[in-house]
Amino acid sequence: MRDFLIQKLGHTAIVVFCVLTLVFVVLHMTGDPVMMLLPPNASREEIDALSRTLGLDQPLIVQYGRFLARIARGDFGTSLQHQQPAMGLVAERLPASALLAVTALGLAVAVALPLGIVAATRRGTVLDRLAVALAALGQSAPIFWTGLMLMLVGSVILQLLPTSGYGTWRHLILPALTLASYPMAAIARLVRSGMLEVLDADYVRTARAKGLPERRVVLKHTLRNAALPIVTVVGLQFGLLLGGAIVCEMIFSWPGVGRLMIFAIYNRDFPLVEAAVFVMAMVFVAGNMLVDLCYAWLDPRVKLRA
Amino acid sequence: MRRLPMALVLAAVPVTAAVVCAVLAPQLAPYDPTRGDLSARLQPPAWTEAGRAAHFLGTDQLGRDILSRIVFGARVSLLVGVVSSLIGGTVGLALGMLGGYFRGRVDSVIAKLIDIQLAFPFLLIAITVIAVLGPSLPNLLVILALSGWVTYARVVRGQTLSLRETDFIQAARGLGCPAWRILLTHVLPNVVSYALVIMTTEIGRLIVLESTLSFLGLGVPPPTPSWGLSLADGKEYLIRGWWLATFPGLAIMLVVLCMNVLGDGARDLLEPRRRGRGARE
Repeated sequence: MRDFLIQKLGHTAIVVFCVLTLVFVVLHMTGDPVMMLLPPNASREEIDALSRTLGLDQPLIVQYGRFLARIARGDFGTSLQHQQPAMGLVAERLPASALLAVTALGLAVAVALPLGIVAATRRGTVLDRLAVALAALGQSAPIFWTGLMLMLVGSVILQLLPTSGYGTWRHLILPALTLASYPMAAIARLVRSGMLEVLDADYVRTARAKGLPERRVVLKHTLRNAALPIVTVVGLQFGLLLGGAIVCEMIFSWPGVGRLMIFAIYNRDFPLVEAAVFVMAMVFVAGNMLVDLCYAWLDPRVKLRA
Repeated sequence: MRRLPMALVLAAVPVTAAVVCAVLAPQLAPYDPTRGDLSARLQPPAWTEAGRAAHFLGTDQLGRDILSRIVFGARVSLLVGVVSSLIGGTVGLALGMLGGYFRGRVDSVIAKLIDIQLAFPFLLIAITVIAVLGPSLPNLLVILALSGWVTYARVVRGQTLSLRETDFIQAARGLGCPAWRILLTHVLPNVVSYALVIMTTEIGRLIVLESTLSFLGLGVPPPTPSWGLSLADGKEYLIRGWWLATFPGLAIMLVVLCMNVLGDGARDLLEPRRRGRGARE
């Protein structure tokens, strides 16, 4: 168990390092933030002075070294646009993003799990076909279109919910539904196919032959075995969820990390982009690790033989 | 789900229609997709009360014909989907075959690359890279191609690993056949069908990714007609013109849905054992 964790942490460190390096290189390849901060008629001296203050006059490799040293100290510098510590700005937005993501994932699982189970146990019925069709639709619609259509129906036509903003539970409904749509479809599909695969297994027949109630057969003997691929894919969905969250926050003006990052990119606010990407990478990696641990817990055979 | 060939035939219709639209756009589209008519702004679709027959799906905020923009938009979407999945597929196929066949150091480098890429949400990288390099069609193609090679490489590598132990490959090696020749004439024909199946679903995924980036203003630059761009415009006019966002989105969804059905069908044909189980991934 300890070896497994150490190995995972090592792997994580490599990934985060690669991502940070990529972000650094890409952001510094083009575009000069100094020009965006100063008025268009700034003199040469003013430009040079600001470059010096920000350390942007140094060779790229020196900037990179300083960048890594700062990050090792947990210091992401000051946002060029907001004149506040970049990490603080990201941390401020984190609860909003977390609220949205957790609600969406919870909603997705809460709908998809029963839907998949019912579809698999009543295979071939109208109910099954309906579930399959819904899942296929949900997986094909681009998330921003789902969002716009929900906004159109919920806010423009029915006028029940606000189009955008943050603060009350009513603001949360549309973004969370939008973000949940894709993982909901993917999980429902997987639960169904995973259940179908084990429903014919010998041990399920044995469980039935023992006279166990069907409920117990499905929930205990089938679902647990079908859960392995489901957990893996939920883990893989995590990346999509993160990307989806960015789009979702943009549509509904949700004040989360994704929206902060996109605007920081538009404004070439290097420190802020770096901090936001770093935090997202950490969340993603942590989520993946959690999935690995779940895997071991669900399947004793894996027992962390990494 | 029992997939009758009928489902495949039905799914092939919209995909074929989209291809025809993309190829014959100038002939099919009733109007120039980039020229607006300010006197005919925000006209609703023809079947609504205020609609006019001249613009079947209505017009956008600049008076451009929505149907024409959708027809022309198929060009960008399909071009991006097909070209970047071809690039990604070729790279993934090559790396997967090399890794699976030679194993050892080559393989471990490739496996590390796959790990690193899978360990990070690609949309983040794509957004960052495009924001800096600037949105343009070539940049978009490369970035999207980069997002796809991993899937091919993983599957092809696995297949190659088991193929290299088969008798006919061993025999070829025993006869002194050089490695490049074994790969090209013996391994490639046996793995290429897997790559083609992945490609069917990949094209759908890439079309969605392209429209997402265009929606965020990081895809093809305006005024090129693109489904994602039309949706971004539609967002601003959601209250005054629901048709702006609705139809381009329907186009994306229909094409992607049908590509997915075709992909599942192709997989069933390739692996009949899994028929009726639906997709696992």
